[in-house]
Amino acid sequence: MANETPPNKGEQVKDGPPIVENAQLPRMGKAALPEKTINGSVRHMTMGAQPASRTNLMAAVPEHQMPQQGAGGKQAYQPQQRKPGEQQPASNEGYVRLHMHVANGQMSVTGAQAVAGPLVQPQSLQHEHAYEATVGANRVAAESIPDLTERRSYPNPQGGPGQEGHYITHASSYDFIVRIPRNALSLAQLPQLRVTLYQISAAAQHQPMGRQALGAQFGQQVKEVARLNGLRVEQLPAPVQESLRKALQ
Amino acid sequence: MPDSMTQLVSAGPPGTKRNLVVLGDGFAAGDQDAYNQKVQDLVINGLFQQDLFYEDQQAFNIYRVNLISTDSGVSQRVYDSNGNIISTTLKNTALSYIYNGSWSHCWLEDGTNTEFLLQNALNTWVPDYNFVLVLLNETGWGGCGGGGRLVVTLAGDWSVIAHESGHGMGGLADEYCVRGAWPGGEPGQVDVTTNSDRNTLKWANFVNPSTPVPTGVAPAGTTGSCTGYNQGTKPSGWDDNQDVGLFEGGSTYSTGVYRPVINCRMNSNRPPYCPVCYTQMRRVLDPYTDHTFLNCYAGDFNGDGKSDLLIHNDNSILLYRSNGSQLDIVFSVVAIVPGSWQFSTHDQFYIGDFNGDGKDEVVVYNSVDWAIPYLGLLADDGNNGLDLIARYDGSMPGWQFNKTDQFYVADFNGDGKQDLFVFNGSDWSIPYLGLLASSGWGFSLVQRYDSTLPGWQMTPGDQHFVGDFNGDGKADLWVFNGSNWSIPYLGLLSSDGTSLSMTVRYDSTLPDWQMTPGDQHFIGDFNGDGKADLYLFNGSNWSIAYLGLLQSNGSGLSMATRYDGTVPGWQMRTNDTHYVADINSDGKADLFVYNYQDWSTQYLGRMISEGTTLTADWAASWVGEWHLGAVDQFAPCDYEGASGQPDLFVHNHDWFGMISAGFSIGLQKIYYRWIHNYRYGRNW
Repeated sequence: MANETPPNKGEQVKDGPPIVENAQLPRMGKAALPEKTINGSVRHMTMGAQPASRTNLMAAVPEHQMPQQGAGGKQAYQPQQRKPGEQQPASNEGYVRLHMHVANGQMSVTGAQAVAGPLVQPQSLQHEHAYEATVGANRVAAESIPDLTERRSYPNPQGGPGQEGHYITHASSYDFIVRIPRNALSLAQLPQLRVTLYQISAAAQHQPMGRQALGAQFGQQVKEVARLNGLRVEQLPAPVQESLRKALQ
Repeated sequence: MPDSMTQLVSAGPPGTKRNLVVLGDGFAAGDQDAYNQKVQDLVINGLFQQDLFYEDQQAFNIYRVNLISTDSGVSQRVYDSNGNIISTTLKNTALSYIYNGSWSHCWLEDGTNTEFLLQNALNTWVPDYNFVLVLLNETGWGGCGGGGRLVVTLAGDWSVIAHESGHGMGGLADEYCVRGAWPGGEPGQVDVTTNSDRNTLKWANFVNPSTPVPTGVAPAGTTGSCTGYNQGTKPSGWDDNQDVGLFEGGSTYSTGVYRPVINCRMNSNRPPYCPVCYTQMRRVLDPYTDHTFLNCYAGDFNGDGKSDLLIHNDNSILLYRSNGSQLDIVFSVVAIVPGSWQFSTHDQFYIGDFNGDGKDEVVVYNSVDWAIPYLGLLADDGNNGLDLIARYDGSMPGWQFNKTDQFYVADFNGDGKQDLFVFNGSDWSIPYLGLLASSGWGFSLVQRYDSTLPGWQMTPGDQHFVGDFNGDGKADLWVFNGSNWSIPYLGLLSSDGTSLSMTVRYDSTLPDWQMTPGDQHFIGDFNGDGKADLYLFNGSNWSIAYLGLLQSNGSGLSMATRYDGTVPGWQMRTNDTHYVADINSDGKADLFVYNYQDWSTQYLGRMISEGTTLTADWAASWVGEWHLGAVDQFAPCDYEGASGQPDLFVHNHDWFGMISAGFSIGLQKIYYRWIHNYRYGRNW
């Protein structure tokens, strides 16, 4: 006797009996099954039937085409494929790029641009620095920044001792870019925008970023380097005001 | 000549990629060709032909900005040995950089308004940027990097940029040693450490247990050099670039700090990244390559008898070559291949030897992403890659491509070159079926059937299968329709090379089989007589599942064996999924069978044909380290070639596996997120 499908789905049994999938269905027999009706009638395959509509037909095959065989020689360099003439509807996706400047621990915005299209936001910390942008209690962006402050000269291949490697200095002023999804920031929210630059310990690198603020999640593993607490557009230089208004309009 | 921008590589929207911008300073109008060539040499033909950058091209948009300087060459400044300016000669250039030729002044410096000019150029010409490379029209040696920016002269080559990219993109430390003792604590970078404890080492997972830790210890007083393998005898075959240990010296210091390998790119530029740095770079770029293993295709693209792998992601393809036990990258392209074919999201790939040269080619079809449908034929470019040798834009004589064209690879004229059957049952008032013969250089229509095939009235629900059921060397066409008529039909249409004729049509029943809409057909010569036979499965229309082995005698089918509910060794279920392959290389087509839905765990089985009967075995839940799951897709292949027996590629979004199946089911290799063969360890 065949087994019913066990409630817990069960496991394969070598040389086990057939599994009855649906006891309401019959076993396969030998005779043809009853014909089913389609739209109330029996339809059999017939030869020579004409299609109901001939309004959308492929062009006729050229007479000389059959039974010709073999394509021509190697194709010449082809022009690029044509994009659809009908433009796809504009996506609402986009982000704002804020150009941040840090000098002597003070952070400022020096420009802004709007960028169309989606934005990938990494989910883990990767490098020695990272920024976090929040509006009120909501994080709107966070990203690691490699190689933020170091400045290196090429080694000197002709140089004497001491010049075999980079000449390394650390910049007291530097720049980075904050990228915030367009729908997460408005002009009106700029006073609530907070951007914090952190130095990330080795232990926190490669760790996934949770929903908490970085400071709360990683505690002593992240060290605040600089912070921007709110933006008063009217207090910014005119070109920066203009770029912010344009980017966030 | 106005300023301009050219996008050299277009991988995707700027917010989803890393955007590399190259700008020139000191290039006058007459220097622009030289500038363009230098960018090509450094970036496209240089950096992005190298290991990781080649593999991860799809992470990058590359923009070349042509800024026209009034003067040719850049401003010059000379310092004396005390760092005092001796002289400055200014030129009128686009970005006002000043070359000073002084190591301790970073070889070059900003002019008074360089930052403003650079930001203005970036904001004007590119939507976004992550890495900025400025090329100075200056032949003297030098370059200055940091802060996401690298300014170089004409004297450098790609290797320095590759090293600098390790800093700028990966946040990697230098691994050379020019100073004495490390003065600090544990460095933050992944490729240097002060920790010599094997158990807590940052890169412990890459260190073979047989490798001593530390592996190289600096003799007392060492300064200005890195230590190699000196803790025991270096094993034969040790690779100074790819075998990982713990070597004293790194981050520019000689003692008190360690690096992973003897000689990484972060030590001496030209070698590839070591496993630690490679993995860091790939992790950093991974969100931007956005590669998956969802669209994988097996094919022997170099004709060595071993199945290789083609992976398609959006507008890129990657080709990996099998050496019998692992896969290695041989080709990576983003956006376009010479010829030209622009890869796109909805490209469909069909693999076959379309020119009879013993190597597989690729037919690619896209009826979604462009203004008109396109069909392309990609063939070996002679350098492990592919280029386009034929393309049909919208139509070919006698066939107009349309949205739902379905293609079937089959050598219907027996000339040793795979051809194409093409069917469209939905986009026109009537169904069409075409026979597109391959010349090796392209395709031409040799026959088209409008509405009817001989002895068969075509309808949208027709399902097609190919296989040489009469053994004449020409692939024939099998057509099944279980849904559009009052009874199911199965037709066997033989090909004479240019046309089809109905050999036999089964109405409602096959020998010892009642046809129903849920019948699933798998063509394979299960008795090894040179004629394609039919495996027929139905798991949904009856109270139990059935599998029939219907053998062809060239003019019809007869039931060799019908299994009701069980094949010896396998209890059949509704959602069994089958794949045809000659698993044991005995000339008889067998079946892989997979079921992840109907049991408490997942089963991957083999049904081996003994001519007219089957015996089965299986692996449950795990195949080695591969945890079988609902998302798994399988592709029968033969990555082992003559040395082995047919295998399976198994893949899903994040994982790719090579399953050997000839003698039993076992896992040969498993890759996560990317395909890379670490000498020891792995990236998860």
